[in-house]
Amino acid sequence: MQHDVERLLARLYADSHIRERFLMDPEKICAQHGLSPDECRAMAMMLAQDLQTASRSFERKRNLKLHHSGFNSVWRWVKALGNWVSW
Amino acid sequence: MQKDRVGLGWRPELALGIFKNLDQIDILEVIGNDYLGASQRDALRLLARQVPLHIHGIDLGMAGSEDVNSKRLDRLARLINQVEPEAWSEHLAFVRAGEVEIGHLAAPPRTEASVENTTKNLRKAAGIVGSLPLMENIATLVQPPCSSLSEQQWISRIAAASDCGLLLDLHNVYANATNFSFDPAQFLAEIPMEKVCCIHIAGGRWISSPDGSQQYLLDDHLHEVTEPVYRLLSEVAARANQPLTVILERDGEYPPMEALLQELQRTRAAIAAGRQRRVELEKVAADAA
Repeated sequence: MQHDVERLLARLYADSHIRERFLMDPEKICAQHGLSPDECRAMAMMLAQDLQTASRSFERKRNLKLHHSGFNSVWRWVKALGNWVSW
Repeated sequence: MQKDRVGLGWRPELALGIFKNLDQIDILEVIGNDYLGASQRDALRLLARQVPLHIHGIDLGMAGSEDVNSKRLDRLARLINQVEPEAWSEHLAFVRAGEVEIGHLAAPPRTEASVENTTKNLRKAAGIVGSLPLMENIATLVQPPCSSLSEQQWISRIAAASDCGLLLDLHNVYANATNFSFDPAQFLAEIPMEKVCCIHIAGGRWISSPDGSQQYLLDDHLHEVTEPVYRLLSEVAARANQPLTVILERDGEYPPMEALLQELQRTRAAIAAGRQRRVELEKVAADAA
């Protein structure tokens, strides 16, 4: 099922532990996630370098978002404090 | 008839330079997610009264097999209804699945099932927002496994089934073509060019795989647009009948505004070269007839 494939892809991109296990034995991990034999074979053909490079790129994006959300949060507090002082 | 237009992605860091040079910028594109608060919507509405505006969404995950989230659509609908942009856009990507947030745009398996679900999500979005988004092709470092359609077929089928327009990102086409060894001009020949309403151009950089064995062109929007992308833009301008709206995307490491304006000039020249080629080809065809 498409949804199962996407769920596993999302985990592979976001979770380094499952990614390492997948790279050691892709068909086993796919089967554990409910993929059909055809889907398991197709997933196993993914190139390890592609997957690792993409995952690293996604991780950087996630970290960047965290950084920005942290900054926004601080900024909101500064603004609130400024409003409070002027009031 | 509307003319070809060239514009810039709105970023707060560029605000002053943009306002000083609005005579050279036909249109702006704003990342919608940054402006969902009430006061931010007011600011954006003010901006939209001064210059044509597109709103660009980045986290709906329209092409995933999960239903697009109604609350996210509601928030975007409030923004769009208040700002009244010319158009809004999203990506042919999934960004989450099974409670896992990927953090960015990922390519789903290109199948009939994802065509069907994307179409369903687009109808839902149009129902809530009031209009269909333009849908953008993405850059990917992984060929989506379990795919039964080429990217061109997949895009064409979604555009046909949903009747959405396309936002054609030429750096994404170029990066994918470079990383997966296909001809980007052939890609352009195989998508429904008449559906292309808007174009993105950007720059990228080379990165290595963690083990250093492979090189990839990354679409990072942090570098200037390169000649191959301008050539693809000329190709589109030669193929398309309709007026084109081209947005230059830059997300950081900002150069002086002068450099961005020069890139906009280079963009206009690339479009003009393509349009000229089209005129010459039409003349040759007419003479032959």
